[in-house]
Amino acid sequence: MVRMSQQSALISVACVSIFTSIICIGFGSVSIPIGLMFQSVREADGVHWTVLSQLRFPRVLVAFTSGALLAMSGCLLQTLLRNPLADPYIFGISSGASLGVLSALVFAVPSYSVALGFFGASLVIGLVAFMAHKGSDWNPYRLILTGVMVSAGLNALISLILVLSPPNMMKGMIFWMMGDLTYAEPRAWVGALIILIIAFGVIFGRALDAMSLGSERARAIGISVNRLEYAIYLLASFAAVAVVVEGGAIGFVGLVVPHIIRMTGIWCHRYLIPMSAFTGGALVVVADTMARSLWAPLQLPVGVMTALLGVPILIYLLNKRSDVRS
Amino acid sequence: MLEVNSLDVVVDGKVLLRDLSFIVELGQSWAILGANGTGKSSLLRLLSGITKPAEDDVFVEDVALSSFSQKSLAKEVGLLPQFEDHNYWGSVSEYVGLGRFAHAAGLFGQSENDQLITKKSLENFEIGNLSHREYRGLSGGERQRTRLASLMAQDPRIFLWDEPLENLDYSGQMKFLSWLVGIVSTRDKASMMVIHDINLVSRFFTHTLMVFPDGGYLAGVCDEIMNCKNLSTLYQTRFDQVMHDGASLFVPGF
Repeated sequence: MVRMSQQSALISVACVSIFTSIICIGFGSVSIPIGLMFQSVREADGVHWTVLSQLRFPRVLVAFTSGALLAMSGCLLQTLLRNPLADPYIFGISSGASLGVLSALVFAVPSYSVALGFFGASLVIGLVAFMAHKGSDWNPYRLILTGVMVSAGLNALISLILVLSPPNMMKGMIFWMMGDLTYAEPRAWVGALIILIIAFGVIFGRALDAMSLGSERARAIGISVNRLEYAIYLLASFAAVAVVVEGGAIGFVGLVVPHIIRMTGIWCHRYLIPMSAFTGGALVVVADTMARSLWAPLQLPVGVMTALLGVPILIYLLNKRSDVRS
Repeated sequence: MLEVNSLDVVVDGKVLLRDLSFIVELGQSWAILGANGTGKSSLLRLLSGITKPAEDDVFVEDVALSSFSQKSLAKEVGLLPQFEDHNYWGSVSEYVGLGRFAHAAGLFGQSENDQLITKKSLENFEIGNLSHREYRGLSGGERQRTRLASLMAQDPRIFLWDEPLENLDYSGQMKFLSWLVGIVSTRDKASMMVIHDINLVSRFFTHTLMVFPDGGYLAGVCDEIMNCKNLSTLYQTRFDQVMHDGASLFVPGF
């Protein structure tokens, strides 16, 4: 395999992801070829323009930002926990958010769902950080176990809500929990968060790289490990929250995308983080496009498609590379 | 230079070493001897500022370790721990370059000087030919040389090594120790090393710190405290002294 420099790899991935996403804007129950797309954007009028500006473009944008946030969140958490199985939901953030959003649905106050989801997830973020602490230290092991336990407890409550809720609401709830962008809206602060995390990854890239040696060694070469870990924890968590409150727990992107990129030989966080953003964004855009066009007008949950797309790619790469070790 | 003033080494609420006081000056090279589990590694962690003591008991030029930032401390005191996580994905030269973290002024990349020092460190430990290899793919000994080179690149004033000879072959051990003797005596550096090979101590070190199983300690010039009596108490094993080429060697008995 020709070894590209990391810079050119980043630029190619960025171009391919953006191009793919633009193509995906055209797909849906009404298919708009790319030529027609440019034409209606130029005219800024007509039925195609309405479909594009009101439906497609916001949808693709929200899919892209969700994927970008999830992939970066997963990447950061894998670094923080030194664990390849870490994903954005490992601490139960999605469960906390789900509990909030489902309560909003159950108590028939759907306009509060984002606020309640955000509240539930923030509570989990605080709770896990607080409980995983011992003195001034927290170690990855305790953090993972605490998160998994909080998550398990909340999932039990969610199951309880699902069982007790009226049957006509249950399908919507399950759909949402699998990850569903139908009602998601693009928001400016999500874009700001993406830029913030990319900047963090680029500026603290070397420190993040060194975290893979363990906190003791990282501290010995001069890294303020505690501060860095807090920053990672908060950024990764709120990235996940930003996605979950809008589009539910879209699975697999955060777990799979960083691995896919590392397996292609990119491991410096300075490149890994932005590349995760682009790849994750494109993956969710493609998955969401398939989810809404394969059985159109019926819509599938995007979370199902991300897994169906991500799993084969990762397994293929795992088999191709013989030298993947722990 | 490095002053320890009545320091207790406490691990999980248990006092391993009590009321430790000694001063390490530049140009001195200390060996730290002691049985397994007597708190040697924990002591090095305290001396390097990786763990914080209950009170300010460790000073670099009269300044308590706690008043340094992690980054400025890494230029004064550098520790190579015995263990670390091994999921580093980068190349050998990138690994060694991590040692320059505290010195790198810019946010992006390294200065020419950083790269030069990295290169020199690689060559010093004879791993220049491995510099583009993946760190994870190295053998145990090659990995250890890479680790040593990274602390050389960090270039602290006081080197702290936790069993650095592990996995090194004899030529590697001798070259490493001779290099260390060289820089300590000429470049205004100091070094402390946890080591189990007592017969290297008199040859390559100026001072010895013995930490006893009962929490007591003995610190001093090698010639004064390296003897069969102290070593026997230290390791709870009988030692015989034999002379070879004018130097004394210690042989453990049964």
